[in-house]
Amino acid sequence: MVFSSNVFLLYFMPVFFLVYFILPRKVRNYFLLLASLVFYAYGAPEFIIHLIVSVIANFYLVRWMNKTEKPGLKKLLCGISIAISIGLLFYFKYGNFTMHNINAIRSWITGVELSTLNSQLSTILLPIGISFFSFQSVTYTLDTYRGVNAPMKRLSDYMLYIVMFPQLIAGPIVRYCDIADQIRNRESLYTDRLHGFYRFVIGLAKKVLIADVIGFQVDQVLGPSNYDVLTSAQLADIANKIATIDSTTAWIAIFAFTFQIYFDFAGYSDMAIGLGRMMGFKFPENFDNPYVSTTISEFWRRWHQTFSVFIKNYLYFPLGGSRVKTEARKYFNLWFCFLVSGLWHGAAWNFVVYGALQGIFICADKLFLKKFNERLGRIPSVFFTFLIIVLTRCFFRIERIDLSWLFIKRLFAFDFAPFHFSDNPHLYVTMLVAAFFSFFTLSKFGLKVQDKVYFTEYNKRQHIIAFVVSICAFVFCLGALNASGFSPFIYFRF
Amino acid sequence: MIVLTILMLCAFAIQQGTGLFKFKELNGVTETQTKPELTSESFLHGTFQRDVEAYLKQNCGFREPLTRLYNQILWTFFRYAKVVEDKRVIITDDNWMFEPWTVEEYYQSRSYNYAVDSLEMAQKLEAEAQRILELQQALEPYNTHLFVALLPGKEQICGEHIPKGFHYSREKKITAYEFYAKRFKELGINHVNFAEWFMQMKDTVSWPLFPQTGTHWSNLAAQHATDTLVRYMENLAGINMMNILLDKDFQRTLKPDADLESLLNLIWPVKKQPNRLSFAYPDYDSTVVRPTLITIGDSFYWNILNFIPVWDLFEKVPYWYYFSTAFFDDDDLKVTHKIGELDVLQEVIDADFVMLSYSTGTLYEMSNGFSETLLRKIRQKQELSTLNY
Repeated sequence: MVFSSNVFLLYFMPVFFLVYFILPRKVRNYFLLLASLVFYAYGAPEFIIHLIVSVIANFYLVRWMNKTEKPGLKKLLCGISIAISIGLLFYFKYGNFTMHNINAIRSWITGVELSTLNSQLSTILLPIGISFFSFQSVTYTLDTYRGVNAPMKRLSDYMLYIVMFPQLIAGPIVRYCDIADQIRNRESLYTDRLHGFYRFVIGLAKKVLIADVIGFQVDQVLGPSNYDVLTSAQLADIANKIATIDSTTAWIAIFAFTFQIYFDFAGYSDMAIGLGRMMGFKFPENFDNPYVSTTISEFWRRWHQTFSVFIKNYLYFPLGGSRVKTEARKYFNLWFCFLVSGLWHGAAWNFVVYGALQGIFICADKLFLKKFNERLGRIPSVFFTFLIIVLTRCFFRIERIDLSWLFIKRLFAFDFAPFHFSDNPHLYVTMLVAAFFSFFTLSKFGLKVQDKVYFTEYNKRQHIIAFVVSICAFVFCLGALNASGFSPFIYFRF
Repeated sequence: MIVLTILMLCAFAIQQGTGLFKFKELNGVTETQTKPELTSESFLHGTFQRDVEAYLKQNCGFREPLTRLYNQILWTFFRYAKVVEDKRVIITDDNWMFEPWTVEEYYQSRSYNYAVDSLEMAQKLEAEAQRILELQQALEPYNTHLFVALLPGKEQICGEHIPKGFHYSREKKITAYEFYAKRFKELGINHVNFAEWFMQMKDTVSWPLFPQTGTHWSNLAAQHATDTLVRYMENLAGINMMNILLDKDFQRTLKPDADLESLLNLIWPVKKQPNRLSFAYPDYDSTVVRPTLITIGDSFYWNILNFIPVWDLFEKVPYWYYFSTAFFDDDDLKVTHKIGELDVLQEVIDADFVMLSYSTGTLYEMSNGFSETLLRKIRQKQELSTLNY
């Protein structure tokens, strides 16, 4: 179930909050757990058992790990627990990818057709949200192992931490140490509930009114975002489209995608944070105006922050971080973390290239790019960094390296055609709005407005205004969700 | 405020369940999504979830006002309509609306692409013309007069409003209209070429012959056409029919045909020219003949049936819409039959006139199989009577 679906907005959410607020505090967590399991089962019914079993196994392993005094056993149990989480992630997410690559090598050695080898494989379906809840269970295991927090006493509390529906599907990745106390003891003031609702509506608007509008046109130019579901004829059609695209359209398409992915993901995070806040949870922020970054390093501190924090704490530091013997190792650690980050986004070589490129730019930042940007000045460096982000997005959006490369060639073919991306003025205005809000906080005024809207307590009058605006926006989003695809015929005459 | 928020969130589901508030339905035709059935298989495969979402998109509470509100905002601020993007309607900067396929037909990209090649389409049109001629002659002994009304299409009369981007290449081929207009004359088929006549008079009439936001001709155009039809039928059969008189001092403004605009599903109507015409009334005369007229044709004929006092002019006016559904005048056109349920031949023989009434956009499907069916039935009847004899 996704937040921007009718089932969620019109049924799940209203019924959930109606019952949640009626119930006594003592049983709210149980109800939230039950609702979260229903939420997951509705979206991925075939994986709910996997999820529950892995959560239970992990809970008892960590409990045992915490009780034992033997350091060797402690380490072993910690390893098993992590292996279960990461093993499941690897199996479901990278199983197909690994086998296809092994087959490619087999095909090269034996000369057997790759398609014949691949046809013998059964496709492993990907459970939704596995990338997020696997990481959360790793943070639980490691935070407990490191003694940052005591393990949870109740299985239901641990299960709630892992499967809580607001952050189950697409984060934010909430570290155990950040939320452990809130699970049993949290305040839910009426202002939190209202602020949560406002935040949810802001996220919904980002997703429905901006990302979806832009995304529709991006798909027209670059094809659907998931190439796995396409037939070879459809892929050939996309390849043909990309090969003949003019530079103007190519640039607009990739700029459009850059805005789309930000508003889509940030919108989802806003909705998750808002839903959490309505229940009294304080989830960490996930985005901090990433496109106003002056360097790539800064961009990664602002983009998908909870993921960056996870990688830093649970991969970069264990690798030695920057406290290593050689400079080369330091840069390798950095680069490797981004390579893994790229692969985390999807099991395909284009994501590996995307991650590797980000890693190279981060290393370049440390070596010379940051100094270069500083000399450029703030505004030019923001746009220079943005341009790097836009260009690397080609490998993120186009799920085949050869096509990504072809697309980049089209960007720099300099065969600029007259500006014609779409006949739809709504799209252009939406892109302008997206651009405006992406760079709004470049000014002090913008920052002030953002702080006021997101992080300041409202007085009564402000609450009334925010409430009315939120209701109107919510209604308009519902209209957009249900009307945007409505295109009737005059008659079915012939 | 929190209670209000939750109530507001619940209101959509309550409205869907109870239909408490009634709203004007959305216009246009779409495929209806049936309520999905929950089975363990459909749930596990995710098809139930997918179908529920599709069903809710069509049936969620307050869907009509939500859709109109969204459409109105996009229309007001961006002049954007989904039906335009999906090529259901062409809209010009000054709010003239056209059906794309009629424009394509006019510029010859439809009828000639309809068949395998243009030669095949030309053969199809020629065969139809020959059948109509044969039928016209076959019906003469029964005193039934067959004739064709070549009605103008909006794209033909108001072609100057069609945006340049939609002006397709005409090459050297001719349209179905041009073909029939020429061949009917050559073959001596009874016909009234309203399209030609309207082209001549379009600049002289005080009010538009076609509404800005509708497909069909205006009431004024239908009024002019009816008068001409009566005169034509009088000449064809040598009878005296009732006259329709116009009171030019008494102008009426009717709601214009806005079937294309209705697809936009807006809250407020689009700004357009008024649909004005003089008040028409029958010149009652007990000596006149009130014949029976069967009409086979497209939807243009509705504007004659609904706004002209045809009940005074004719004894009966059955309307065989696309030779598919038959509307009868017994109960204000509400009685309908499938054509298959009728004794078509007997109905035609009993009638005084049969009119094939097609506008330029639908001419390539002239008679919709009527001529073929009737000729076959006439031949069967003739064979039967020979055998009996």
